[in-house]
Amino acid sequence: MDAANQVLTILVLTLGFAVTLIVTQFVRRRPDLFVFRRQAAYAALPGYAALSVESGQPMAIHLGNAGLGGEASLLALASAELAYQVAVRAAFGDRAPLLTTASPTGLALIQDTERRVARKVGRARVFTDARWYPVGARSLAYVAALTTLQSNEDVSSNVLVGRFGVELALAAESAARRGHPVIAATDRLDGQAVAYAFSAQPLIGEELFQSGAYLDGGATRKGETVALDLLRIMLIGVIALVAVQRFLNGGGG
Amino acid sequence: MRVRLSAVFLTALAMAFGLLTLAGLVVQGDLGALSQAVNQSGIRPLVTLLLRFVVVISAVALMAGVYNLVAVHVRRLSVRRGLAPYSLVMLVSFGAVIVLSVRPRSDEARMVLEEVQIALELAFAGLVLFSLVYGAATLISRRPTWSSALFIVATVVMLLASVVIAPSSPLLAVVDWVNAVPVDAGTRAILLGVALATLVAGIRVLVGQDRATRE
Repeated sequence: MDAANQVLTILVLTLGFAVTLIVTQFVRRRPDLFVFRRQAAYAALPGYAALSVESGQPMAIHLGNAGLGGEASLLALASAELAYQVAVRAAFGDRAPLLTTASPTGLALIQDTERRVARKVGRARVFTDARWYPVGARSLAYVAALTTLQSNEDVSSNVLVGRFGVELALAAESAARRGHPVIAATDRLDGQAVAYAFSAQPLIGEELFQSGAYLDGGATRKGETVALDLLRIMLIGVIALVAVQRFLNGGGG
Repeated sequence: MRVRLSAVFLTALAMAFGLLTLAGLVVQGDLGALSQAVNQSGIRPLVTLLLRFVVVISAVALMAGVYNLVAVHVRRLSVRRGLAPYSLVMLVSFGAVIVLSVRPRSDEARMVLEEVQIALELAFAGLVLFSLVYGAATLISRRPTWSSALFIVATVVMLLASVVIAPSSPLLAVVDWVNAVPVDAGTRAILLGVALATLVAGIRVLVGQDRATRE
C-alpha cells in the first residue's frame, strides 16, 4: 500500500469511527427520532419464525462459505447476527432452528450463536442442530446437500445469508418447488442476482448487515444504521463532486 | 444491569487486539512520525504473530470439525440403521482419501479430486442452469412488481443479445452501453453499499458492541 492509499484508508476509518460513534450516541438519547423505511424481508422473518413454531417444522438458516479469519469475517458476523435474531424467535417450537455452514470457522460461529439463543430463551440445553458441510472452497456440494434438507428435515422456511455464488439457485429452487419461502442475501454479485430472483422478500447488499436494527430494535443498532445512511450520503456527495469536477475540467467519464 | 466479568474481559481483549491489528496493517512505511511510532512500539511483530494465530486457530477449528463429523457418522452406524450405509460410504471415502494423500508422490489423491469431486460438481453446475431458468420463470408469478418485470426483461434481452446479435449489428452498441453504464453503476452501488456496511460492522466489533463478544 503506497502512502496516498494509507492516508486515504486512515481518513476513511477515522471518518467512519467518528460518524458511527457520534451518531450512535445521538440516536441512543433520542431513539424515536428516526423511523426506518419498511424492509419486507425483516417484516416477514418473525412471521416465518412463528410459522416454524406453530407447524413444528424447523426453520433452516444457512451461512454458506462465510467464516471467521478471512475477508468474509464481518459478513459472517453479520449473518450470524441475523441467524441469532431469527433463531431466538423460532426457538420456542418443538424443533430447534437448523443452522448450517460450509466453513470450518463458521461452525464455531453458529454453535456460539445457538449457545446464545439457548441462553436468551432460557433453555438449559444447548441446541444440537448446527451442521457443517465440509466442501472446501467450492460450495456446489454444499448447496446440493441443502436441497435434501427440504424433504429430509421438512423445513418450514429457508434463510440463506452469507457467502453464496450462483449455485444458490439449486437450494432456492428446491425450496421454492416445495412452497417453502426463501429469503436470501449474499455479498457476491452473481449470488445476489439469484437471491433477488428467488427470494419472497429480497434483501440487497448492505441490508443484510442491518438485521439488528430491524429485528432487535436496540438504540445502538439503530444508530449504526443511521450512521451507515449518513456515510452513504457523504459518499454520494463525494462521487457527485468528483463527477462535477471532471465535467468542468472537460474530462468526461 | 448484570455485567458478566468474562464478557467484559473478552470484549476488552477483542477491542485491544482488533485495534492493534488495524494499526499494524494500515500504518506501514512512508507515513513519517506515525510509521516510526508503530515501528518502535513493536506492534508489527505482534500483528504478524496474531495473523499466524488466526491460521493456527482455523486449522484447529477444521480438525475439531472433522473429528465431530467422523464421530457423528460412527455413532450413526449403530444408532440410525436407515442412514448407516451413507455413513459407512462417508467413513470409507474419508479414510481412503487420507491414506492416498499421505502416500509420498502419489497421484491418487489428485485423481480423486479431479475424477470424482470436480466431475460431480460439474454435474451440479449443469443443474444450476435449470434452477436459474425456473427462478426466472416463476419470478413474475411469485412477485409481480415493476422491478421483477424489469429484471426479467433485462435478463432475456441480454441473453438474446449475447447469442443472437451479429458482431456487426448496431444493436451491439446498445448492449455495450447497458453493460458499461447501468450494469456497471448498479454493480458499484451494491459493492460500495456492502463496503460501507462492512466498515460500520468492523467498527462495531472494534468498539466492543458486537453480540458475539459481548454475550
